[in-house]
Amino acid sequence: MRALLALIKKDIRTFRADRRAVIVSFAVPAVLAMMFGFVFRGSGGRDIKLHSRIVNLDASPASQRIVEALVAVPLLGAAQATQAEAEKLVRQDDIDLAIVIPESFIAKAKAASGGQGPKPEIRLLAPPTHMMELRIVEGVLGKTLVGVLGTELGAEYVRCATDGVPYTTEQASISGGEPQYDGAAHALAGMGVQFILIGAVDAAVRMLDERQRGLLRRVHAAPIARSTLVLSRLLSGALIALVVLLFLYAFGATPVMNVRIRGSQLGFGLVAATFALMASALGLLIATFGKTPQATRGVGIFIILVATMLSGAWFPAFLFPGWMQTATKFVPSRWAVDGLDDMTYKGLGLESALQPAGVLLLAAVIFGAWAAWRFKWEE
Amino acid sequence: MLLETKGLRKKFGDLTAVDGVSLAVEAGSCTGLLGPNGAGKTTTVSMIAGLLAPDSGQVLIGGEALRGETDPRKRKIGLVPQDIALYEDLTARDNLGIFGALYELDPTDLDHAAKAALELVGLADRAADKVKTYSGGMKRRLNLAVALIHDPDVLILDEPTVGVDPQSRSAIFDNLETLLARGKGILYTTHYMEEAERLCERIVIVDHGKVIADDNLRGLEKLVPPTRTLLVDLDGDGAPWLAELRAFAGVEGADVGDGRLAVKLVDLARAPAVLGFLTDKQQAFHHFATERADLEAIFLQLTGRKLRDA
Repeated sequence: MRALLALIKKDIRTFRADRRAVIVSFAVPAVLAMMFGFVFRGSGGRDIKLHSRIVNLDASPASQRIVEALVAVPLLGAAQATQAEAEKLVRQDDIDLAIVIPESFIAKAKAASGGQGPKPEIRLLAPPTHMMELRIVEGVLGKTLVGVLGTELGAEYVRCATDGVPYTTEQASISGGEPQYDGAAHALAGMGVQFILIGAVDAAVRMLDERQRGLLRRVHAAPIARSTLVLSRLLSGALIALVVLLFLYAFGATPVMNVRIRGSQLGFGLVAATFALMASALGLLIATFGKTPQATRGVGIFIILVATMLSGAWFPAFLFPGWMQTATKFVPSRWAVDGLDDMTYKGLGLESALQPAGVLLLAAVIFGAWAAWRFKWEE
Repeated sequence: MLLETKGLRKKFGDLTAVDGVSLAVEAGSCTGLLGPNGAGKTTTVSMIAGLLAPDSGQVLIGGEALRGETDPRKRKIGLVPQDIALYEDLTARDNLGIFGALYELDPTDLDHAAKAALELVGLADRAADKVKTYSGGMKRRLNLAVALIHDPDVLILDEPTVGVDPQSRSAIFDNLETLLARGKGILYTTHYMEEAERLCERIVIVDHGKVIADDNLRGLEKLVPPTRTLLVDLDGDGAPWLAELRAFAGVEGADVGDGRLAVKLVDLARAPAVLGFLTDKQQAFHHFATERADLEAIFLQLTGRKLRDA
């Protein structure tokens, strides 16, 4: 036990003594999370196919032509539905959005274009995590309505078009009570995950460096089991990763980012701890495949960047195409990002942390066992 | 016997790296392990230090066989690796603390042992400095101190003076002689013949994985043919009789340099006649001897002069 603790303490001391590693682990992700947070808080978009429903509360033939025109737009992936059906699908997060054409829309638009009444309002409904898509949809809606309303209103539409369109849109999120998407919280999760994984690669490089410099040979000369060394590496790496993650969320809680753990704190701790363990095990596994520190750093960083991109660390996973959203569930770090999002801005409870924590723990066990099996004291 | 190996054998694929190596280290004595590159020294040392399991044969520590990587008998061995195996971003005291803890020393014992080790190698006043601020020689000395932290009975030194300045080398030798005087046993691998001559009572020469010689220096000298060179330290300058000496009966060649005359003889029995020749020429001299084979000559005689790059 004393040897295990000594090895863990040694890893933490050598990490602390490496200023570059400390800066990369603590300061860089905090700064990047802040920058990403500013960029993504309340903005964004995508150029991919959506899944939407059109609700037509206006019984006129012209409004039906609008529906048909919107259904024909490939980007929207639209189908007609009743208001109840559409709202249910949005609440369940099964579709990206719903477009609700109000009662007497065409008549009111005609009146508004003649200056004889208020503009009718088209409602755009989306789950909180899909609000960014509505910006795109507004543009698509405008283009589609030009054709139908232009025909219907003739010269009047041309006149009012110079003064704005004869309708307004309102964006609204509907859900089971979830708060709206928070770009800053997501950026914090994403950058945290990315830089902890980069830290894991650094730990792998440090281990290979120790092997290259004969330090592992010296450790091996002591009566130390291979499993003790592997376990010490696993625990020290996890401990460092956990401290980095907690530091980032402490920074996130400041007014600079204003990110709160709105869900279960225990759930947050569970996701953070299992992710830290998984990252450490992954680093150890990378080290067992590495030959030289230099080559391992290059390959390791490439793997980590791909993994973090697929985990939705850079851009929210809900922006991915459907097939990719499913495929990336095999990337463990995706569960970390989702789990941290769930416990922060989505405000979900402990039960929602169990699945991501379970997946991360399973990945940690697999990676750790694999690394222990592959580990060699000397090349 | 502190350390003994019996018929150690290790193969890597088709290559037999070590083939039946047996050697011994007694208390208070140094055994030198010499051999050209690729002779099997490092593999032998690795098996003795418990870093590598032999295919066959035994390593006995204090008469008991070493078994497995967690065998507590490993505590009786201190390994000084060829590399400077230290955490350079940490202090000397931290390094000693880390490696001492691996041998389960409690904090109080560890503190005493660290002080003693640092004092022995003359680094007590730099204990709190980071290793990266040390000179190469200081690092080498700390490399030795780390191997001593758990007070082992046997020290295994794998070329511990590579790249060391003469002062540090001398300091390391002084440290090792102190340890020998305290009854420690030393197994010393080196390429420097003069180091082995200075430190080691017994010298084991290995080549192609096998022990080709195992004796003290006197015994090894007998393994090579005696030289037939007479050395005479002359008084005064000049040797006007040199050409005449070269033509003297039984002399194959003669040269003078730095006041020393070297005469190569057909037979050592001709040495008295050569000394008589010098007396006849009224050439005074204050010392004469036949040339003795040094360890380097013995080593080259036994292992050959062909370059080994492995």
